[in-house]
Amino acid sequence: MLSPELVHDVELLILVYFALVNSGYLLLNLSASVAISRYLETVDASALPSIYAGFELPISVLVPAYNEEVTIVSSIQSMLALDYPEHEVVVVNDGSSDDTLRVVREAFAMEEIPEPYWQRIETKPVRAIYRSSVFPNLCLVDKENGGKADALNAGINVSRYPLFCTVDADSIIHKQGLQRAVRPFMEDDRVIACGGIIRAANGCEIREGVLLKVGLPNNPLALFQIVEFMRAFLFGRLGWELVNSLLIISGAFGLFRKDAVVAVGGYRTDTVGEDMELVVRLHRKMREWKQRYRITFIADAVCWTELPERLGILKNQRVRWHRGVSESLTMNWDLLFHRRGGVVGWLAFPFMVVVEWWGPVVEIAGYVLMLLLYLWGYIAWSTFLVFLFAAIALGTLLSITALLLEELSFNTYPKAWHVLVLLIVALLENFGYRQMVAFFRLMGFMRWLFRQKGGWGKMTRHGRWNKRA
Amino acid sequence: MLDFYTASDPIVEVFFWIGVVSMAMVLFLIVQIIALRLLFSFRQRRKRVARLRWRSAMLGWLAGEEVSLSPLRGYVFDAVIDLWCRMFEAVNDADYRQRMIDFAHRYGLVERARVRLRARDLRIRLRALRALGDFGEADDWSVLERFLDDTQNIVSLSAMEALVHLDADRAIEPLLRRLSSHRHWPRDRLAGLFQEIGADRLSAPLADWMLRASPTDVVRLIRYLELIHARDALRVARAYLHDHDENIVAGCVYLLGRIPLARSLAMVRPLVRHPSWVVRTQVAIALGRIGNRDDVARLLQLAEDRNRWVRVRAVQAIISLPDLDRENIRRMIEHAPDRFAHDALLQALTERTVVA
Repeated sequence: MLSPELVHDVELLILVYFALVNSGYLLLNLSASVAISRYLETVDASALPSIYAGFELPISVLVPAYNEEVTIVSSIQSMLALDYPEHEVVVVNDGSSDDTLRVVREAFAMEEIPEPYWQRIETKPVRAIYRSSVFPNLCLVDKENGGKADALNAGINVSRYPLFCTVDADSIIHKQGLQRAVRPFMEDDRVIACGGIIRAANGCEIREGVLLKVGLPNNPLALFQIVEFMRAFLFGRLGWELVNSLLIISGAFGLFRKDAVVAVGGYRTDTVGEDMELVVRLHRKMREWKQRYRITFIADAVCWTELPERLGILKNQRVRWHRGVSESLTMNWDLLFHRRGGVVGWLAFPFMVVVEWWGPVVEIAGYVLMLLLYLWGYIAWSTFLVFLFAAIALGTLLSITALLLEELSFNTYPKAWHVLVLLIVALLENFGYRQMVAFFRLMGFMRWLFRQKGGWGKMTRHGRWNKRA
Repeated sequence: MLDFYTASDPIVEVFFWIGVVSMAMVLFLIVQIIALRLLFSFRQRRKRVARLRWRSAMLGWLAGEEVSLSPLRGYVFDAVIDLWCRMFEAVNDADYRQRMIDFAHRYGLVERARVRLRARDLRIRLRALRALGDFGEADDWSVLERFLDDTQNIVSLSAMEALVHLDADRAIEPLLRRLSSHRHWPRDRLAGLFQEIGADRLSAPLADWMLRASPTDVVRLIRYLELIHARDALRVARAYLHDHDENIVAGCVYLLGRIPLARSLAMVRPLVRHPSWVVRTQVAIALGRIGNRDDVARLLQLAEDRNRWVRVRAVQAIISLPDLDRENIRRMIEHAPDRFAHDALLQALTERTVVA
């Protein structure tokens, strides 16, 4: 038998958490608005013709690949076609069991090179290094399977340039993506990492690795994710970037200073969230070493990637991502309230713990608890509905705000009906999709808790959006 | 229906009002988004039409036709001024440029740009700065000069670019005066300014300035000296080549590696045994760029260096030497002094073969 006081305390607890989370998000929203308006002002100016463009830092584009035979050729083509004065593309085949190695070797006339392999970061053995006889700036590393992080470390070891860019093998970087992402490195010596924005390739028209037309997919799951990504990137990342507290740079598109990454030991291979873990560790180490640094985000450096259209794949992805969040935070626990932690240690990290990491636990527990309280007769049906109403209304508000930021800034989706569809999706995603994703994230949390083993995220690519000539 | 509201506890009430306020804001934002999209489409269409009209007018004017245009409206100013600047900067012929300037005067672009310089919106001000630089009116010099010390880098740099457009000779002095204080000017844009001013005008003053500059500025700017005349660049390199700061010496060597003269080669060669590996790395790169067959022994010595970067660059330099054939390189591989040099030479040679 529960006392009315206890029920009241539970309600109060939910209210406090609810208020904390949502005011955090609304503050992030404000911060993102400021960041966007500042950025748009400078981007407009930097769009003026650059008279001399030979001073960009050279970049190694690292493409870890595991069973990517369907999309790898187009991805490499798009990376070779990037509008950038000096870059090399390093494809790392992480012991694929399909024909990835053969497909790449044949498509780009790769020949084995007796390259001395400098193992600055320890990796699984490298079997061979190939260079293309057609594209001098294309390199292929064939190594034993060791996971994505291990493949990236091998790529870092082989890379020749001071900056490296990580790109997923199923992704397409916008033609000027590298030029835009490198700007912070040119303008500020303290910048050690910069993330780009990830957008959905589903529904777009892409030919031979070049984006021809932006569109929306028909698949409802992909549509929900588009709104979700907008929310995550436009105010999640931009908001934190303003105070140098960005904790995530997506593995699908990030640019890093190689010496900084090598100094902190490269990617960790014992986590499935190696991209986030690296960024959190960079913050932690730089602060421990009293180094001046910046980790930044460029909202118009775009990378187009295929979003899962099947529930099972989406579930696996979200489970893996949340496990990655759990591991990244616990592996860098020292950053939390560290005396030199700054905004990142005292605000962003705790926010990440309470809202992102524990969020799904509290959210699902909240739903279940309210349902149980109602079923046991402690609260009225109408009270239960009010809780649900408030949660859905605030969720919708956040999604719509992200859409507004998009409209105010980048207008990625050109047609008016695109915006209408996205508006409807932003309303609908609160009725089932968000709760489902919260449940998947809870599963990820449980897997982390019970230390289940992870590996490369397995995603079946159809590559329909990516046409060949 | 609203029994929870009248009878329940304050927490439920708070939740209820959070929901109501959020939904009200959602509705408001939806209306705002739809309005923004309609406005965006309308503005795009209006700008497209205006751009087409003004473009054909500008082309007609360049061809010597009399054109009639309605007065320039505020909403199309940005599109028109962008179009004008692009066309102006695409035209090289002095007569055509003058015609473009006449057009700007005739249709009020100049006056409007001066007014827009006082706008609060940064984007509008930047456009106006760029346009005033292109209009070439000497009277605007003092107005533009006031923006040189703006707290925003992008504004000060745009003002500097405008001054260079206006009068490159006169712009040298204010530019040099601000090289130290405006360290955050993007490197590519700064190099663009140097290029636009031109080596003939810039060489001597920039070299003199570099000789008086602080060590930080020397390190930051020495690489730009490849854009000026070799004699002045060499003058600066000679002055700093034996500095105690390894970064300054490395910068000098980098610069010398971009001046393909016997004098610069002679200055680089003795630095093969420099105590700093940073300098030795640059020496290897420079010898690869401007060296010849006589430098093979020096590069082989660097290929045995205790620092890996020096070895890597030395091997790459050997392969890039102009007058070495495959047989020479093969012999070198056979007699390579250590395992790394052997492997690295083999790799570089194979790469050269594959790519060729």
